[in-house]
Amino acid sequence: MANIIIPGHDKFGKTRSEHEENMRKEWGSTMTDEQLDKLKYLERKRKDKWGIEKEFNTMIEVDKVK
Amino acid sequence: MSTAPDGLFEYGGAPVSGGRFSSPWATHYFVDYDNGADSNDGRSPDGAMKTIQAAVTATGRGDVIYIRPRKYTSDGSDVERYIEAVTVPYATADLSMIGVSNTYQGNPNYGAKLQYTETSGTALTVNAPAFHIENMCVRAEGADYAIDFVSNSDYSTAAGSCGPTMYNVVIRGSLYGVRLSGGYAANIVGSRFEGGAATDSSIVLYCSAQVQRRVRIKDCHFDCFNGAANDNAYIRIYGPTTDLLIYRCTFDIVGGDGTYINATGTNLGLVADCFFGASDLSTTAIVEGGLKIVGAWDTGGINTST
Repeated sequence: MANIIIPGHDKFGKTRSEHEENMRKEWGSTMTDEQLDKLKYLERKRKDKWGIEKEFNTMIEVDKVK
Repeated sequence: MSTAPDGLFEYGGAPVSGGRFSSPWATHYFVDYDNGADSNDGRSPDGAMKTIQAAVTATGRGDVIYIRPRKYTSDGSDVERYIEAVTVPYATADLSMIGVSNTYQGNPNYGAKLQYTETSGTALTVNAPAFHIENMCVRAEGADYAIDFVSNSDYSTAAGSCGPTMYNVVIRGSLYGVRLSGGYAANIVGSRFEGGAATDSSIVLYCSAQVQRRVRIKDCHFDCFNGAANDNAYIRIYGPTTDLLIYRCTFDIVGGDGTYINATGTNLGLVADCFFGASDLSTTAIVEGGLKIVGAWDTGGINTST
């Protein structure tokens, strides 16, 4: 079992998709596979547009991705 | 650009603003009742805390708490519950509480469950602005509220405090499922409210002199887990409210007072594209209190828009 470990406060990942992928190795899931795909897309768009590398999105935001 | 008729404007494709951004100082905490200990720091799954309240107490603004489901019950038909009364203090704004599921569907019925078993009181009391809860089942059968979002007189935040958000939460039993007092722009989305004979109302919006603004209840299901209707309307609104939206929700058999939604006081808002379990929806089944109703459907398949 190899997790994405990042030093500092974000030991479980900088973004929610990293959290989710680690969570699935440890405990279970917090979203569907489709939502995870949308979440990654959302994070990539925000990183490209705003340079955001650390964020936590809720599924309310994710479900807006069509 | 618009996704009317929900009354809100959303951009097609990926939303590029409005997310909840974790601050550079945010910390993630983990709760695991069956394997954790409150003496742990809760900063990793291996060092998880035992109780939700211990994690809440340790958190600061903008932090995230992941809650692991408890072990299966002896017959394997369910999971055990966290038996606690949890309070989120005012200073812990922007806290996210995320339930983890044993399935790959974020299923709150087979995930982290919080229950309060006393005959009065509340399972989850939230005094903080901008609280978020997701993938949880909160039960408070016999008690007052499953979740009480307090943001009014005691904390004087109603005149500008950001309201809570709820997503994929199951609320079972209790006198009131969710009470929402004050706060702006609360979002209750994709959640299920399992009421019944012991439930007065599933959601109650309590306002005072402060106007409650921009509350959105969307894609929610209101049903009766024990086969009997709520004692009163599923959604009760004590105005004043403004820009209230109840959109694309479904409702089971009519409440004991003959209503599904009962709004009193001065209100401005929209009830749109909702389905009601009545065979022929009466014009008295929704006490409008200033709300506008469009697209109200019943089991007769008749559009009884008023």
